Amino acid sequence: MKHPTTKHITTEDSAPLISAQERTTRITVVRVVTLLLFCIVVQSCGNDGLATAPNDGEFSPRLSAYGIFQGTMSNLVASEGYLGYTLSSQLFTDYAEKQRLIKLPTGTQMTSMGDDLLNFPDNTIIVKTFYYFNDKRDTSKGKTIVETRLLVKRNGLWNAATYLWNNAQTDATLTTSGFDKNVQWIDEKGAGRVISYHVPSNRECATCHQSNGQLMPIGPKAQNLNIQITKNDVQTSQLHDFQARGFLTPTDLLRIRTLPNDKNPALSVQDRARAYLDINCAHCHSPTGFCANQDLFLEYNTPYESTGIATRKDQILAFMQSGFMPLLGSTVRDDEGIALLTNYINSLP
Amino acid sequence: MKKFIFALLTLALHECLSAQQPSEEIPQRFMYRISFAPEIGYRTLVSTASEREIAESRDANEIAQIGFTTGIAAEYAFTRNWSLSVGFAYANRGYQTKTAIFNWSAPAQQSPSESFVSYRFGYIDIPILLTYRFGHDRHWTFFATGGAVPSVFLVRSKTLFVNEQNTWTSTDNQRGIGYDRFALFLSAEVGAEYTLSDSFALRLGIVGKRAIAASNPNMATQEYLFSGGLNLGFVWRP
Ligand code: HEC
Ligand code: HEC
Repeated sequence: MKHPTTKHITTEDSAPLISAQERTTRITVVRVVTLLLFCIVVQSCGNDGLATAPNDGEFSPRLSAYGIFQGTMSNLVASEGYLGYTLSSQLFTDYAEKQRLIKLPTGTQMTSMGDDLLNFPDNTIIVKTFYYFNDKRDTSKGKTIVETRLLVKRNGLWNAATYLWNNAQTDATLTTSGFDKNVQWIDEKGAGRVISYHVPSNRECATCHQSNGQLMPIGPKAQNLNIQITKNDVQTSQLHDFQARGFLTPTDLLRIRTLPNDKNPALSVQDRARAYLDINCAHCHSPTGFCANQDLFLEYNTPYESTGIATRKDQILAFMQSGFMPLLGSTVRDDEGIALLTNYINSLP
Repeated sequence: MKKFIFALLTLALHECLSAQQPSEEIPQRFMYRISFAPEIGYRTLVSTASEREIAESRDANEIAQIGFTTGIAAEYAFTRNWSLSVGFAYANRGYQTKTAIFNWSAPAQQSPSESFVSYRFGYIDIPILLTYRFGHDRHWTFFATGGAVPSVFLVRSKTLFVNEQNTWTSTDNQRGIGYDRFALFLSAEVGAEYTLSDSFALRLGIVGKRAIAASNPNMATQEYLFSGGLNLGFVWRP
């Protein structure tokens, strides 16, 4: 004879009422499930882990509308009024080559605020075009242009958007949701490379480009522009050249420091590594960036003791090796960068 | 909208479970199930006019991919025919690109000849399903199941497969960002259970799931994942 369990009772009675025990079980189940579901909703609605800085300015559907390039667009010859610039240290983006241009409204100038980001007048356009040489050993074999990114300042606010070049390389289309594109090229060692290049979404732009919740340019800091360039076979200071051409208000250039070039083997490993972290990581890992709430601050000007590197030596390398960091912006590991950081971290006390 | 549907669901569930007064003989009210479903997955894209070309080029290049869902569920029978289940499952669904063939102008020393990319989305599913059983006989029972599957997005992995001299290698890139943390799928299944003993049955169904909320709701091109396949299960009635 079975014990008089719930099952027993319900099967005996022809029209049973549910037992108290069973009712309790049911209510408990409902409570647990409801609670669980509630937690999920509260935790997660509308949250995709990217920055929520506003980035919804108007952009033309086609890149050609901006007239950035003259003649055949794919030659990337900048139109009149576009100022080309280079950075001492540059962001690694899956080995892509980059062309950088600034267009100021006629009659306006950039102003320098010490080492920091230059101040740009309204209606400034900054343009960054990403491309690959078909054969890096012989650039005359042409290139494949993938995307052209714009930062435009209107009414004091920056907005960012990117244009995906078509296969015929005749124009590019506004792409705000992100896109993956196969890219192939032959690298400097003659090896064929294939990657699935990621064109970032508008939300991704905002995640790297936000500072205190607002979109900002990252590269054109006086200290990152403060380098020697070769112009008409003559060495000259880039900032001095900007001034001479009337793009930059007069400032005492001697007081501006220089962000080291992370690729320059003549510099100390420490300087190179800190510059690398500045341009590849600090847009998120800074007191105003996306990761302001972590105490990992990787700007070059931050004194070592305040960076938080000391307590995360292994983690930094591990995250870079696994491809987890940088969180956005590349799909393959930067082996050179990892080698540099490994040397640097091994050299730390 | 999603919050609303969700609240409604929760309420419905609550009503069902607490108000129902059973009126007929049911041998076992509680059942437990484990299941594994190999599935084919894909997505639909809904885009604004400005990104139509982008969506079209993705539609031309992306194809279905095999994924799976595996999990457990507890089922409660109200009547001989009707029951409600709540489960917990891990789902891995996604899609991939067609294989691209690469030609090299200059003979490079190592040159990949083909590649494709696989996109996989890991979700924790919480299926809340209503089941109708019919055609009971000594061994066979048929069923039809439908309901909602709220789920939590865990990670998306993008894996690039490259063929170099007939050796495929892959590089994986995993991110838990860029997609809404919360998703909602509708699920439908038909199939049969084969009774092995008083307590055990085998279960085989054809199942389909479709997202009714985009996985990237803030974008101009939105993705709605869907998947379908065989659902193999094992039922235990204690
Ligand atoms: C991984 C982080 C990251 C993401 C994502 C990103 N950027 Fe940037 N961007 C940078 C960094 C760092 C620089 C400066 C370094 C350089 O130019 O090499 C930069 C430079 C630029 C510049 C040149 C002006 C400047 O700020 O230096 C433009 C224009 C630009 N980005 C636009 C975009 C747009 C549009 C998107 C989205 C489609 C985007 N970026 C996404 C990190 C990012
Ligand atoms: C697009 C923004 C972004 C960029 C760029 C980025 N990170 Fe991060 N990083 C994050 C976020 C977000 C986290 C927190 C991740 C988590 O815990 O899931 C993080 C966490 C870390 C942590 C762990 C910190 C802690 O205290 O837990 C390290 C170390 C780190 N990143 C290193 C780097 C390095 C090195 C780079 C550059 C090569 C880099 N990151 C670039 C966003 C970024």
